[in-house]
Amino acid sequence: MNCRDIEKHLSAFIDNALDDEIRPRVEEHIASCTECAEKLSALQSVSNALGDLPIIKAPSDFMENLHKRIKPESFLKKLFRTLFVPFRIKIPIEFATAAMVGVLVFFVTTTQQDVKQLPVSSMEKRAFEVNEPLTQMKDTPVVRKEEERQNAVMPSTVPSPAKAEGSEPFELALVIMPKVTGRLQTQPVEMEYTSDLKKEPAAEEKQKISESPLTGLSVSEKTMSRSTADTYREGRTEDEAGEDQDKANSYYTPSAPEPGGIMIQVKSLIEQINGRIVTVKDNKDSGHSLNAEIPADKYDNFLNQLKPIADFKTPPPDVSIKDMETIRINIRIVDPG
Amino acid sequence: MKETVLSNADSSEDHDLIRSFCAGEKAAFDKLVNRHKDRIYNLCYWFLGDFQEADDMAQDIFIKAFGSLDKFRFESAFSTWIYRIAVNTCKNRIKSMEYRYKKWMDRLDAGPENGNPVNIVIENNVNSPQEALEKKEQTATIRKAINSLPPDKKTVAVLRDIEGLSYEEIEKITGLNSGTVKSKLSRARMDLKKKLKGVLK
Repeated sequence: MNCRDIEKHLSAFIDNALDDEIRPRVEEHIASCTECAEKLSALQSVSNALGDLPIIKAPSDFMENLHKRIKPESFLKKLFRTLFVPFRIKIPIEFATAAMVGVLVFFVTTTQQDVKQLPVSSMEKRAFEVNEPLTQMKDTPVVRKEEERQNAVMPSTVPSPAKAEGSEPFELALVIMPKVTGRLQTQPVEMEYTSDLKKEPAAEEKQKISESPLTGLSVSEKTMSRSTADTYREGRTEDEAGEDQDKANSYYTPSAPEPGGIMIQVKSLIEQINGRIVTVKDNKDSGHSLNAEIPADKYDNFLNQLKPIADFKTPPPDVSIKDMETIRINIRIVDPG
Repeated sequence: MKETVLSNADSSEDHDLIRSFCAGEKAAFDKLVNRHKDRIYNLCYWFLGDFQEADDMAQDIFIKAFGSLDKFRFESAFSTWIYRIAVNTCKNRIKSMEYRYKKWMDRLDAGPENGNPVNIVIENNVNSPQEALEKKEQTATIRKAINSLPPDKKTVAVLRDIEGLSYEEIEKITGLNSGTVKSKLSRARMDLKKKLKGVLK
């Protein structure tokens, strides 16, 4: 070992902290090297000087001042530390928790909406959107008793009987569509029957038309075919016959009846059974629907009168609850098919 | 050299006091403070070189201990734990801008040679007022020399030569290994030897 190596070990040599292997070498070198011995002495002086420095004791009021600082700080600092410290850990965790709660709330709310909408067909959903008093509809609306309604997972389409027994009228919904038949439109058809032989059947058909419970103007497609065939027999030109055919087609071919057309008849029916029409929506944009209140005892009668002019999209609810005076009925008229 | 390392009995007594404190006996903390306040205050003074700073830091250290004593795991002596807090708190204070600005202002106010007038009672055996004055000046010079050391060197020098802790204790407090502690202490003493040339006999 040279002096430079020895110098590195002098400090540890003073503290008697050298390994047994190195210590004898350092001792041997110091004994023969005056320069290293002087360095050792100087380092020893430094160490001794630091060790001889006076101990600076805490002032007598140290504890008192400490108590003053601890008491006011303890609560707020502890609260702050509990909530936020250490920042690097707690703040990201708090943000993550808040985000998870947000996502959870979002999923819960959206899932519940999905569950509500699940059993409602698209058509009925439209009816639901229009009919504000009715909150939900099902494929087969039935009046449920209170226990069934409470036990049901899905909300019932019909309000509870308890509600019906109270001041609020009983509510139900009907979705109907006009019957698909060939029919006359508002303009009367002027037809000339030149064949005397065929005048009688034509008169019979007119009689049938006048007896029709629907509009009094309906004729069957089969009947019209026969009438137009007669025109050919009378030697009319093909062009004239073709014009008549087109004319006939335009008035008599089977077509989807307009929902608005049946509205007048429904209104009339309601008035016949002493019902009261509350609201009517009758345009293409918002749909065709009608809110009305009818006497409860006339409900079956109303349905019977409605059957000839319209098909029920869904079977009408069977109202069997007694002690009911009025039924609030929402009728939505939809296109057939 | 002072021997301030606590014995196992002292350490065990500290642990009992901590358990009492955690059980709700607040007075146990006062006893802990009384047992260690002078060592911590001494460390702070020689680390920071200023009475006011030492006072503030020593209080900060015990307030930190008060706040986290319930997390003490009894794996080490309380003295080691509180020294670790003390060293880290003092190092952070030295790094702080506020401390640097204060030191800079002190130097401007006091001039290059005056420094901090040290009101230290020299308790060593001195035979005359002249000797007491010389001792006082020497102490002020050593304080300035220590104060000029980089924090790492200062830490090991103060812990070993002023506080009288063992190498093993220093390793636990600083987290350094044995070789690093030895080499840092050696360099710190070399630096002080140069700075105190002519002062020390």
